[in-house]
This record gives sequence, C-alpha cells and structure tokens, in this order.
Amino acid sequence: MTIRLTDVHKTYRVGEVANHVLQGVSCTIEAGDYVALMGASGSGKSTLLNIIGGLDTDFDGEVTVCGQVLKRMGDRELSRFRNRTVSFVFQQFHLLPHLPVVDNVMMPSWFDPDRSQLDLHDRARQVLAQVGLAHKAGSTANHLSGGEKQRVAIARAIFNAPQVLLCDEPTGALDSKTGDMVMQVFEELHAKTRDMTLIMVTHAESIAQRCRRIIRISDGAILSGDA
Amino acid sequence: MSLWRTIWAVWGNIRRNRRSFVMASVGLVVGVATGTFFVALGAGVQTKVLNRIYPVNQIEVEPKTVGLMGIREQVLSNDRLGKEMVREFSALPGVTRVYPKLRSKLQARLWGGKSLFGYDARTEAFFDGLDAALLAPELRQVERVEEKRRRRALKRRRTVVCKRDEDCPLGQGCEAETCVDTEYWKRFEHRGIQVPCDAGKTGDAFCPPGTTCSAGVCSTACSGAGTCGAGEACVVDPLCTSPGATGADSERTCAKVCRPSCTPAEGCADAHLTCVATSGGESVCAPTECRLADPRRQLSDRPSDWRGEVVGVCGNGVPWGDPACEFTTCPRGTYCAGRSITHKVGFCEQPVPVLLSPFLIEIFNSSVAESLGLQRLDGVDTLLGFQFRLLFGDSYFADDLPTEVQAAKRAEIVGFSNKALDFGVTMPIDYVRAINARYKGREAAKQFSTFILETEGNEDVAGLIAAVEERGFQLARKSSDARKAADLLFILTAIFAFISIVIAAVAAVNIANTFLMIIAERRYEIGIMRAVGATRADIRRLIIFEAVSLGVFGGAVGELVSFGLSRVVNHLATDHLEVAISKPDDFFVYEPAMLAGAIGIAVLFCIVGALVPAQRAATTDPAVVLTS
Repeated sequence: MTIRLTDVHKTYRVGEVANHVLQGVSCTIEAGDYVALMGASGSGKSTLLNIIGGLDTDFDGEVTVCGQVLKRMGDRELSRFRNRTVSFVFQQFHLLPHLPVVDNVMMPSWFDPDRSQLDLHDRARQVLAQVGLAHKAGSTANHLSGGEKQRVAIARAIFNAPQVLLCDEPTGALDSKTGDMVMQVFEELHAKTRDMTLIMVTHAESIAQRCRRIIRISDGAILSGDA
Repeated sequence: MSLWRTIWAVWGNIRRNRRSFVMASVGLVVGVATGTFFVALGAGVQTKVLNRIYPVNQIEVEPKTVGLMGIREQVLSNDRLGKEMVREFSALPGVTRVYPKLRSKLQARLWGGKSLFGYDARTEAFFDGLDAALLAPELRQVERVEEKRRRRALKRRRTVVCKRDEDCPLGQGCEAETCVDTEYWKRFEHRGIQVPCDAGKTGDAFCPPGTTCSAGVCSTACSGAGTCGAGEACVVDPLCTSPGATGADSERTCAKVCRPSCTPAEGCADAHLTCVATSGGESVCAPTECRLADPRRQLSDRPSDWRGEVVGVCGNGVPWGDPACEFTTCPRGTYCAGRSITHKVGFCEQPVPVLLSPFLIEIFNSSVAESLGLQRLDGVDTLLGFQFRLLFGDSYFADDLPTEVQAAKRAEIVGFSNKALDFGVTMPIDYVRAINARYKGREAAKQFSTFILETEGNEDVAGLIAAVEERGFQLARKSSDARKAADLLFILTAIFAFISIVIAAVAAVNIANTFLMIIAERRYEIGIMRAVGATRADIRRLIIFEAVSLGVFGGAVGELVSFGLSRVVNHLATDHLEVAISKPDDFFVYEPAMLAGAIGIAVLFCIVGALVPAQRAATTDPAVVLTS
C-alpha cells in the first residue's frame, strides 16, 4: 500500500467566503498503480494531487504516503519527501528557461545533500535517453518545443527515481499528437519501473482511459474508483 | 543545498538580473564611496597634517599664566622649570619621554637671502631649541615627501659630475664625484658651538650647565678617567697649549676637560675639530682655532670674508710662525666664527642647523613676498641648505649689547617642522642652552619654557592633561589647537560617516524593493525549487547570498570610486593649493580595516534590505504558484 487518504477536507477562504474544495475524501492507491484522477475543472483533483505530493499541507484529515504521515512532517522532512519520494510533472512544464536541459534535469540533486556529485551528469543523460532527448542535453530549455519541454519535465521528475509520480494534466498544454507521445513516455516508464505509482490528473476521458484505474471526483468528493 | 551550488545559482541569478542589481547598487556605491572618502580624508588629515603638528600621543605643556592688570603673569616660579620638572613629568603614569623646549632669552637679528631675492633681507630673529630626537622622524618624512614632489616635477634627473659640494645644485652634495641628495634631516643635531668665557672675570657663571670655563671657552669638565662619555678622554685642555694665542691670559685658565678621542691618521669626524696631541700623549679632537682678517666683515656674504685662516697649521707644512707659512682656511662646510664681531680670533664652526615652520613659509608666500616684491618660495628644496647669518645681541626692538660681546653665526636651514617657532627659527636645544648661558647666565640655560610629553597611546593623554594641570601647567597653544582640531575633525568625519550610512540605509530600502521585484518575477522558479525539494532555508539562503554578493560588489565599486576621487583631489591639491610644506603628498589614508569595514557595512545593509524579501520568497506557497 502506497497512498492512503482518510477523510481529507480542504477549504479555501477568500475573506468571509469559504470554498470547500475537498469534502471528506478517502481512498487508497497501491504501489505501482497507474491512476487517473478525473473530474471537471474546480472539482478538487489538482488540490488532491498537491496534498498527496506534500505541496499543500493545510488540510484536515490524514494522508499517508509510502508510510509517511504528511501532517506530522516539518518543512525539512516535507522537502526531503518531495525530493526523494514523490515528483511532479506540471501542465506548464515549469522548467528554468535560462538553464541547459541537463541542469534542469539535475535540479532535484541541488537539494539532496546525500547525493554523490560524481554521477549526476551520467544519471541526467540516462533519464534524458529514457524520454528520447539525450541529444538535447546541452540545449537551453527555452529553445525546446512544448513536447520536448514536457519530456524534460518528466526526466527531471524521474531523476531521483521517486516512488510516486504526480502528473497534473501533463498533456493539457500540448496538441493531441504531442500529448499522445508524452502519454507513451508515461506508459513506457510505468512498464519499466513497476514499483513506481503514477497518478495523473486529467479531465480528458481519452487520457484517463489509458490509465489502469480511474478515480472520478466531483465537487470535492470521490464519485467512483475508490479502492 | 551545497555552498558551491548556492554560489553557482547566485551567479546565474545575478547575471540574469544584472540590470536590476546594478540599479539597486547605485545607492550603495554612493554611500560607500561617500563614507570611505570622508573617513580616509579624516584619517589622512589626522595622520599627515595634525599628527605632524602634534601626534595624538604628544602634548606640549607650559606654565599656567594669569591675567593681572592687562599683563599675563606666570604662576609657577622659574626655579621649577628645570631638570627636576623633566624628572617629575617622566614619572607621571603613561609618560614615555619628556622633551623640554628652551626659548632664547636674547635679542638677535637675522639677515640673508641675497641669492634668493637679489638683496639681503633683514629681520629680528627669535629662536628656540628642541631635542633633535623629537623631530627626526618628522623631518625625514617631510624631506622624503618633498623629494618625491621635486622628482615628479623634474620628471627625470640628470647626473651631475662634481668635485666639490659647490659644484652641485642647492640641496645636493658631492659624493664619489657625483651630486647626490643631501639628507638634511640628519644635520639637525648639535654640531659644535664654542661659548666664549672669561674664567678670570665671571668664572663658570656664563657657561652652560655641566661645563666649565677653560682656555677661554666653555667645555665639559672632568676629574679623571671614566668621568667622560664613551669615546671621550679626560685631558688637560689642549687649547691651553695651542700655538695660536687666542685670548688674554685670564681666559687661558686651564682645566681638565672631556674631548673626543681620535687618531692622527683618521682625524676627527666633525669638520670643525682637529685631532691634536695633548701633553699627556693622547690624541683628542679639539676645536680648530681660526683668525679673521676683519672681524666686522663676518656678516658679509662673500666666503673670503668669513672662511678665515686656521691658526697653528701651515698649508705648505712649514712650522707655524715661519714667514713662509701658507695659511689654510677653515675646513669645507665650516666658517670662522669670531669670539665676537670685534675679535679677530675664534673657532672654525659648522653652521647652526635650524628649522623653519611651514606656517612661516605660508605667511611669507601669501603676504610678505608680494609686499616686499620678493619671489615666492616653492617648497623645501628651494630652502634646504640655504644659509643666512645671525647676529646675537643686536636688535631692532631692544637695546643692543656692546659690540665686544655681539657674536655672528652662520645658520643653515635643514628642515621644516610644525613644532618649529612660527615666527623665528628652531635649533637643537644645546645651541639655545649655550647662547642663553653665554649672554644671560647659567640660570637662563637651566629653565625650560615648555615640555613636550610623549605617551604610549592616546588613551593616556586625558589623564595626563589633568595631572599636569594639577602641577600648574596648561596645554600650550599649538598643542591645544591640535587637540581641538582633532576633535573637530573627528566630529566632521563622524557626521560624514553618518550621512554615508544614511545613504546606505536609503539604498537598503531600494535594495529591498529590487529584491521584492526580482522575487515576484522568479516566483515560479522558487515554486519549482520548492516542489523538487528546496527547503525554506535553501530559498532564504539563496536570496541572502545574492544580497551579500550585491553588498560586496557595491562596496568594492564604492571604494574604487572613493579611491579615484581621492586621486583627483590630490591632483587638484597639487596643482591649485598654495605651496605649503605642511601639505601632504596624499591627503587620504585607506586602511585595510576601514575598507573591510565599509564592505561589511554594505553587506549588512544588503542583508537587512533582503531579509523581508527572502522571508517572503521562503514562504512562497508552491501549490498556489505552480497550479495558478
């Protein structure tokens, strides 16, 4: 068992107005699963992803990821958790445009004091090869196409070999052909690293159908797919 | 995040935002430049101007005076101003050395300057005496600065071949057939002055303390071996048996006196002394007796009038008294000083080394020169080695002494000092002691006018001033003025330093604003870093390192600007300020601690300016930033 959410509530407050984004979400995701979180815009799927990934800690309920209870973790532990245990792939790629591709990929190592500095470049080239971009290692990120940027973002996400890969609409900013190519990358990844749990937020049915399991969310509650 | 990685990231960020950083550092550069400029100027003026007048660890004290019916009267008795007071001051806490100062108690006139002005200028002469050891460092420094200035002005120097000093330009002497710069500061020492006396009439009463009247001159008396200084011998005064009968019988009273030992082969180190054999078979250096053709022409500017003839020595080797005797003149660098301006006989003496006050030169250049139609003087090298005449016992303001006791001496300018008399000349204290004793009696040579007290450090001075006031003394005018000027300078420096800190503080606000702007622009980047594992401390450290870099950069550029400005000011001062010996070559002192402190303050203000932005960056919510 990799991820367990128990009665998770999340409320955004804007002045006096409270927006209950998650209302008692509970679910379990097993290790090595390939899950699509599906729902309409504003349904709370991205919020749920951020909570699982330790980016958002201001919630009620209990979240356990790989045996670690997120609520009990301080900033240092959470940062280490984001560095070692989970990784993100965002819709807008979020690369550092001024840096070469290889440096973008190696970024997680900046914040990993235990990591040997010797094999960083080799590892970066290895993961770039996995996403088919070994030849772009020296290019600066702002010279890449959208699909290439997202593949670099995936390479960065898998650089530290995380146990959970969290993808927030990774194909949302891409055309269908490129999006399909990116999805193939995810599928190949999942096939190769079977222990890695892959959770993908999407509102596209076609994308969700390519995942092994679909959890549907609406108005902050899970409609179906809860295990 | 490792230190290397942090530096690498900071360097990348600075490169990307260089325009913002440069704009943010402008205020900092101005603040640091202003601060270091004025602090360096303050330190320079303190060190190179005020400390030349009186170093912070020296004070000059004089007996207190009180106003009485419009006249200022000295509170202390003159009896208390002797060597006992030197000992008492030496015993005060913190005092390392006491230098007494002795003013002349005799009227005198000065004239000379024909080679400079075209005619001899004449004036009343006032003079005082100081310990040479007190002035040597200052004289050496002034001479070096002036030499550098002269060399700059000349651009390149020509080597002048010579055989005698006279072949060389003023300020140079002949050594190994080449003209070389003379180190005049070394000449400020007692170089021998013979004090005439008459043992039969006045005894030792008109000889300086510690001397006795022997063979018509005051000499250091002794009783036997071991009672003289190192390198001296106690002998029956060789002047008693010298071939030239220079005085009346009553002046030939003989005593045992101390004379420097010598060997006939090597002779005497001092030009005015001659190595003679005594009746006891010892060889000692004795004053060289001489004779003038016309003693009234001693004040002439023609060397033939004052070089005289050495008594007792024939230049062609024939015995003294032989009609074929060819007379020789006094040795190079000396002149024949008659016992008075009516006596034909006297001794070969070296000119009296004197110092002038830079203030005197400034007054001359600014007021006197134009009024009298004379040329202005351009620095030390014009006057170093310049000789003039002094006539003791003659005055424009007081009654003259009888001509039988008036004495003419030649004097040579060997340096400039702020401790020298403002209107007059300063000579080594032994000269003034001898002159005061000769004309006013031994007591006049014992009573010092002021005392310069030297302490280990500035911190001892305040307590010392209180201690000397308890003993009936007060700070002398120059010393008091120097301390007031130092206080004023400190206040001004502090004000400008404060202004520069205010500028730097305002710059810190600008820096804070710049950082806030930069952080707003980089919020996605910060969000990504947080998402891939950066702690809040990592983000905070990144921003603070950028601030430190900005501080080091701004501080260093500010210091460079300050240093450049100081060179401009020095250049302008060289070209446009009146020529003044007290004007230093460089008005600024940049001490490493001050430079490091300025960069430290710049860094501190940058850190202070970046604290709030760093905190804001560290608390950036990656969930909000990355999903918005």
